[in-house]
Amino acid sequence: MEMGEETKLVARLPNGPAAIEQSRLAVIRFLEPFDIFGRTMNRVEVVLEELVGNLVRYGKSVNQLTVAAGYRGGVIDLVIEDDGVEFDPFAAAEPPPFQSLSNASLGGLGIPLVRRLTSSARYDRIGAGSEARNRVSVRIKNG
Amino acid sequence: MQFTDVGGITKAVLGGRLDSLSVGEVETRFIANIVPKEQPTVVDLSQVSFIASLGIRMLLGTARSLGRNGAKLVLFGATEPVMEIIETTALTDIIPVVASEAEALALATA
Repeated sequence: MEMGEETKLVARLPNGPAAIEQSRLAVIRFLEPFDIFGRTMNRVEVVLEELVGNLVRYGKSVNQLTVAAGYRGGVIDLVIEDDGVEFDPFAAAEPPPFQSLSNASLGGLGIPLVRRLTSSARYDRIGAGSEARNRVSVRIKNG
Repeated sequence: MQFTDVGGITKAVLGGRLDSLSVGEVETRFIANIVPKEQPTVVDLSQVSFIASLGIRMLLGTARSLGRNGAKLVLFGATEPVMEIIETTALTDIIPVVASEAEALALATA
């Protein structure tokens, strides 16, 4: 897990429904000492919920995931890695804007939410062979 | 989660976190208590502390099912963090979201 010098939290979790709540609580505890605005904390929780939740629901090949968090200079960095098959959650095109209730798509709402709640969001495939991992890095400004 | 009938309008009260864990627990009951009645519905979000995309999907799916029968779903009372997510997903483009129950009841039958 590489996040630079400010990395403060690294939580390694087995893939399963409990990972969603475990990662949420771990990040909340980590951020508690900092002066994080309530709305920023809400964004952090939503982003985690979407990213970790997607892994738990759809990452059938994922055995373990790692959630890392850092805070420096009013910026929260979250890095989520998993050992599943290569998958870029940001590769899919943004769903079209809602036009009407009758034809509104029920799916694909989570990743656009992540994009809009973060100041940056990127995917990298790192490592090779049995050490290869998916890495999603997002940044949320406190404010 | 509570449901009452207010003069032919279904009023649903949601509470707590609408995250992936809780939506899985409440969604079936929420839909079952609203959609079959085929009548206008208002949903009180004032006690909801957190919502993510699965919660948005539950509200959207319920509103869409109601809409097929010509009935409207109106949300009201959203707290600031919940409202930010509702607005960020642009749910407000297709589902009315108002501040008070009185506004919601008036709009549901408008």
